[in-house]
Amino acid sequence: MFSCAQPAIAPAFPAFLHACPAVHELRAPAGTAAHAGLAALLLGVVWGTRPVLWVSTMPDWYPPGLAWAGVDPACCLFAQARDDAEALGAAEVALRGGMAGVVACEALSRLAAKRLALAAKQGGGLGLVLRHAPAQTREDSTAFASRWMVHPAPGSPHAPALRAELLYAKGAMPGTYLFTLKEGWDAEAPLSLPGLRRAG
Amino acid sequence: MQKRRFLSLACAEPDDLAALALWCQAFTPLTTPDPPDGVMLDITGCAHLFSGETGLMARLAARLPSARMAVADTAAAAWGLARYGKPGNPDILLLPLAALRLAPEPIARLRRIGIRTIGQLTRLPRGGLVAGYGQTPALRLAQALGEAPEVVRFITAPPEWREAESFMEPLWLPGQLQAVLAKLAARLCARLTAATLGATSLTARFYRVDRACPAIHLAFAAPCRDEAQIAKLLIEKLAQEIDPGFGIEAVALEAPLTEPLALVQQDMGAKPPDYARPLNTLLNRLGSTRIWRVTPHASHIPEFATERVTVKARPVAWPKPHHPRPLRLLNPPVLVTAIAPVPDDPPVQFTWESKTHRLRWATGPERIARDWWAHPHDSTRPEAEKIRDYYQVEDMEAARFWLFRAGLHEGVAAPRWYLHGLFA
Repeated sequence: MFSCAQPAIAPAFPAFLHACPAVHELRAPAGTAAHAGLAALLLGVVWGTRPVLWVSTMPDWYPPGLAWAGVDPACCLFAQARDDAEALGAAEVALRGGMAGVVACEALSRLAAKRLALAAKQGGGLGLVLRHAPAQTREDSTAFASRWMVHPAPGSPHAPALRAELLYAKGAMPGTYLFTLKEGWDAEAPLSLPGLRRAG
Repeated sequence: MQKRRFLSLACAEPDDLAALALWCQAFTPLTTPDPPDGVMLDITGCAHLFSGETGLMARLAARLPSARMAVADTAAAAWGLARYGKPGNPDILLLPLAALRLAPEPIARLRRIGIRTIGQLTRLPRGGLVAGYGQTPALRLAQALGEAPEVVRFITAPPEWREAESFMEPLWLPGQLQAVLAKLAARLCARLTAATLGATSLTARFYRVDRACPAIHLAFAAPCRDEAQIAKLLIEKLAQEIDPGFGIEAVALEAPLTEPLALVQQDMGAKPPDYARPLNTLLNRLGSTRIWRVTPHASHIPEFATERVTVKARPVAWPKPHHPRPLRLLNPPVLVTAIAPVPDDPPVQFTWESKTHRLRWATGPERIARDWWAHPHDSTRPEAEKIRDYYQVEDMEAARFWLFRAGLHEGVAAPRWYLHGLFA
C-alpha cells in the first residue's frame, strides 16, 4: 500500500480543504489535466485509502499516473456514463453512500450542483467535479464548498506543479495557491537523460 | 413415492417453445420444450396447488386457447393423448400407432398386417415384434405403458431460494407490482437470514397472461440480504425493463447464486462503513461492463499495464511505478506533427489539434519495445519499427505531455510522433 499523505504538502494545504463533507469544483483549461492532478492530490491528502468512484463519459484516467500523484488505485473504481447526467447521477449515488466521487463533466446546472452538495452532506463524502470551463460561467453555483481554476505551473520533471486560483470558497478569501505534486515515495530519478535540454 | 404425472402441451400455431417452457415454470419447476410443437411438464405433486389436474388444465387452456393437452402417467402416453386422443378419454390403447412417435415406415408395415391401434400392438408377442420390426416399436410401446424408462431432459429448475406469488386478477399498475416486489423481497430475505446466506444475484420473473416471461436481473458487489435495498433496486429497474402487457398473473423472486453471509449484531457501537450499498446501486444502474476496478498487468506497454476487473474482485495492492506516468492516457495515441532534431533528440515543438506547443524542456527517452515474442515475425517491419521512445515534455504554458516517437531515424518508415498522455 501507499503512504497516503505527502507530509511536506499537508501543512501548506488551505485548512478548509480538509473539511470533509464537501464538494469542490475544479476547472482547467481545455487540453490539460491539471484539475485531475489537484483532484489526485486532494484525495491522497484528505481521503486516504477509502474508496473513490471516478466517473466520466470517457474515463481516460490512467491508474499508474494516479498512483504517481498519490492516490492508491486499489481504492479506485472507474465508471463510464452515457452522458453527463448519468455521470452526475452515479457520482451522487457514490457520495450518498459515503464514498468519494470524482466526476468529469462539461455541462453542470445549478440543480445538479445542489444535488451533489446535498448527497455529499448526507453521506459525508468528498466530491470533486472536474470541468474544462472558463473561470466564469453563467451557471456558477454557490452550492459547492469551493471553486478553483487550475493551471499547470512550471516545475521540475519529478514534481509537477499546479497554480490554483481560488475563485470561490465558503469562509475563505480568494487567492492563488501553488501546489506541488510529489511522488508519494522516494523514487529514483526516473529518467536518465543528461541534464534538461532547453529548447527555445 | 408419488406416482409421476406428465402433462403434454401441443400448440396449434408455431410458438417460441423455450420461452413457453420458461413461462410454464409458473406451474411446475420441471418443464421442457418438446419440439416441434409442444412443451412437456412434469406436474407430479403440483396439481393440488391449482385445485387438481382439471383446474391446472383449465388454467393452461385459458392462457393457451388453441393448444391441446393431456395428462398421463408416462411422458410418452401424455404426448400421444395430447395429439391423438379425445378429450376426457385417458385410454391410450385406442390411439393410432402414430401416437407412439414412430416413423412412417414401421407404421405402414404394421398396417399391412392389420395393426392400426396401440391396443392391437400390445397383443402381438414382443419377441416377434422386435425380430420383425426392430427395437423401436417395442421400446416406444413399453415407454408408453410405463414398462421401460424414458429420459426427459428438463430445463434448469428454479433455484431453491425462490418466493412466488400468484394473483386472482392480473396486475399491471406499477404500484401493485412494487408492493409485490417489496413483499417477496421481505419473504426471501427472511429465509436467507435464517440460513445465514446472502444473494449475489437475483432474478425477478413476471409471468404475463399472454405467455411472455420478462425478467429483471440484479447483480450484487457483495452478498446481500437487505430487503429494503433489494426492493429499491428492483423497483428502479421495474419501470424501464418490464412491460406488463395485458397483465401479470404471477411474480417470482429467485436467488440463483448465494454465498454465506454471517449475522451481524445491530446497534453495538460504531460500525465500519458499508460501501457495498452504493456499489450495488451503481452496478445495477450502469451494468457490469461500465463499472470496473483496475489491477496491474505485467506489461511495459502503457496501455496494457492495467487490466479491468469486476467490482466484486478483491482489490490488489499496486506496485510502485518506476517512472512518471501521466494522469490521463489517450487511447489510442494521437498522431501529432512534431519538430525534433535527428537522429533521436527530444522534440522542440509539436502541433496537437491545430495548436502549436513550443517546448521548454523534455526528459527522456524511456524506450519501450514491443513484446516481440508474442507476435509473429514480419520481415518487412523489423522490430526497430515498433520501438517507442517516450519523452515527458513541458510547453511554454507549463502544460506537460507524454510524447513518443515510433520507429527510428533512417528506418524503413520515417519516425512518427504520437501524444500518449497528459501529466498536468
